[in-house]
Amino acid sequence: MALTGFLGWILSVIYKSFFLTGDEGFRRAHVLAKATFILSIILLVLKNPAKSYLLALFIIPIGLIYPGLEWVVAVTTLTALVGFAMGASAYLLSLTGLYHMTPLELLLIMARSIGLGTGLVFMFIIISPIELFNLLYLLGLRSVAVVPLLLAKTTPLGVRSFLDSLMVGSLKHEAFTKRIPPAVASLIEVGRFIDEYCYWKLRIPVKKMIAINRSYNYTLILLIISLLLAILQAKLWF
Amino acid sequence: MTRVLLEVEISRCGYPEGFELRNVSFTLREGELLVVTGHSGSGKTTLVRAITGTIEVFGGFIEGKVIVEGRDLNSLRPGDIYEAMGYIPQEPWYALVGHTVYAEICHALSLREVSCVDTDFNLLGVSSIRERLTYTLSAGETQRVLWLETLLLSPRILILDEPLVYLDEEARRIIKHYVKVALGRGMGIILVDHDPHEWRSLEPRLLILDKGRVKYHGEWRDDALPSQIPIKASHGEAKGVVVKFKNTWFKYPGGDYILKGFNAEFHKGVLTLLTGPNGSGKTTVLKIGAGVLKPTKGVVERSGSVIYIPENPLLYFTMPTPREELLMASRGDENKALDVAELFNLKYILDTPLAKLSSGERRRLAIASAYLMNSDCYFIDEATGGLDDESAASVLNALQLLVEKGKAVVIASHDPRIPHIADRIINLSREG
Repeated sequence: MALTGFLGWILSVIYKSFFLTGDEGFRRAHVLAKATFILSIILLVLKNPAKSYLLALFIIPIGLIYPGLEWVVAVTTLTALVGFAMGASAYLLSLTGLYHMTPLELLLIMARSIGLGTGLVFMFIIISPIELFNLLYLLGLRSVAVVPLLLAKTTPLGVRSFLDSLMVGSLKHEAFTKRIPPAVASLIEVGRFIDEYCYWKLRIPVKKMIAINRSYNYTLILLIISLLLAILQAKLWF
Repeated sequence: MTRVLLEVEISRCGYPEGFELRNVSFTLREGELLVVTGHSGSGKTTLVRAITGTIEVFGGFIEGKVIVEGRDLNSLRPGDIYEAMGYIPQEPWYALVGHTVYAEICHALSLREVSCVDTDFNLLGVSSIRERLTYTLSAGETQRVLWLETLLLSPRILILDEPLVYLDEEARRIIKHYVKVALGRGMGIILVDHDPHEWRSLEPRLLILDKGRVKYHGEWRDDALPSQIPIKASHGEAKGVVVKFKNTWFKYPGGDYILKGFNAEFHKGVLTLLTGPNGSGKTTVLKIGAGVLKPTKGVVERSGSVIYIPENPLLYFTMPTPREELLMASRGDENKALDVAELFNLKYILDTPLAKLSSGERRRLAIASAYLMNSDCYFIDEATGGLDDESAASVLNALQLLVEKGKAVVIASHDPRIPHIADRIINLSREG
């Protein structure tokens, strides 16, 4: 029961971190602003990996603007868990005597994991599946252009079905291990239903791009943050 | 004389070593409505798969022909089929590809080389949910999105599988109106419904299936339809409170509050019906009551064991066949399991894999399995959704037995067969 509850909680944190919102907020920023922002993050991480914890300081405030507090809490929890796991494994390794680790170094490992994790999740949520759809269309891959839309729909749907199945299992007083096969079977069944009901829809190449209603405000915010990241990098460099 | 849109002449279709449907022939003309009805497991879904050209894809076979606007279905390209035929299935949420309503509609239009820039999302009130994530829509909202797609794409043939099952009264009225509009536009409609009476005013032809055979095909005849089975309304004696909601608030991640200060008590020996418009929070109340969801604010007190059966019964099962599922629920007592199989009319499918059961059979099995759990409170989502009268009667009669045994039963449903047997009705509003 406790394990089921823990897994259910983790899944709901993942759901909130990645699938909380649709094509609103920063997803409506101009694609060039997003590219600039993502490039700034990549450069910071590559050039100054030790300072990647700084990412969280930039991303959490803009995350509060959109998707909002619920997302910030979820992503902070998720990345803190990952950070804790990284820190704990590094600490355990240090117990072997191969190298020495101070508590400060341990905290830095955790902070870097949180910064990097927050950056990666934010990059994921600002890319619109419609942009990927349009990109595949432009690349001539029109038969598979639907895949980003479909994944953006089926993944959270699957997570929700899996969660429901887990919780029903706990009501039936089942052992956690006993519930996994039917929970997975229900996911396969969901996939089978979608394949059947959308059979022709999924097998026709798309013939038009999908227009995106851009937002100047979100574009401007991303450009300002990219500029701040560039200034920070310049300071770190010299 | 109106044009023939579809000609079906099937001598056999079905699944190897499984269900078979035999000798089905009919034509469908412009502006014509054909209502297909029959008991759960009579072959309605198999027929739909044969007509939509998907039966072979899912391991089935077909002997005979399906002619779409003068051309053999097998000779058509996917694009031709998509242009000629629209399909709104019983589980509408699986018929959406896009992650948002906007992406869904625009993708559907892009397949027909239509840009969605000037699309009128106001039709059917879809503009208010344009940016919503499709996996957060209620069944009624999902139906509206699929109907908008259908009206925009205007296929000549439309197949609707149990279109009213998950809809409230208002949404049912709207869907009936749009069926009428579509017929007026010259669409030919095949409509599968366990309750054909809903469509009588549109003067449909009837195709009644029974155990894989055509029982009747022709003009509407009341005497051809199965007689309605009475469902006894025995009222239990209200005892102690088993689940109590105290000032309960709830919101889904990223959404607005769906419940605002909800208060309710569910008593042992009482059958409660939760009703209200689509999206008013009926399923949410069931999930919170059972402990599947935790309230955002407020308290839910439970003084007994609870069980929850979701709208999709597959999420309930643990074992791969009905026999194993019932045996597990009865803690290995075979006699008890077989008695319940008899009660819920499941004996004929005891060793059939769950994947091969019809949606009605799955629903009956889930309730039968829960029945054996002997919980104090049963939260059941759409207990009779898509069930014919006979199956619905066996389910509802069994639920009444639970009530008589002093259990609390809470059903969320739009089924008009339930209110008269409910001891208590809670009507939720969209305002929470």
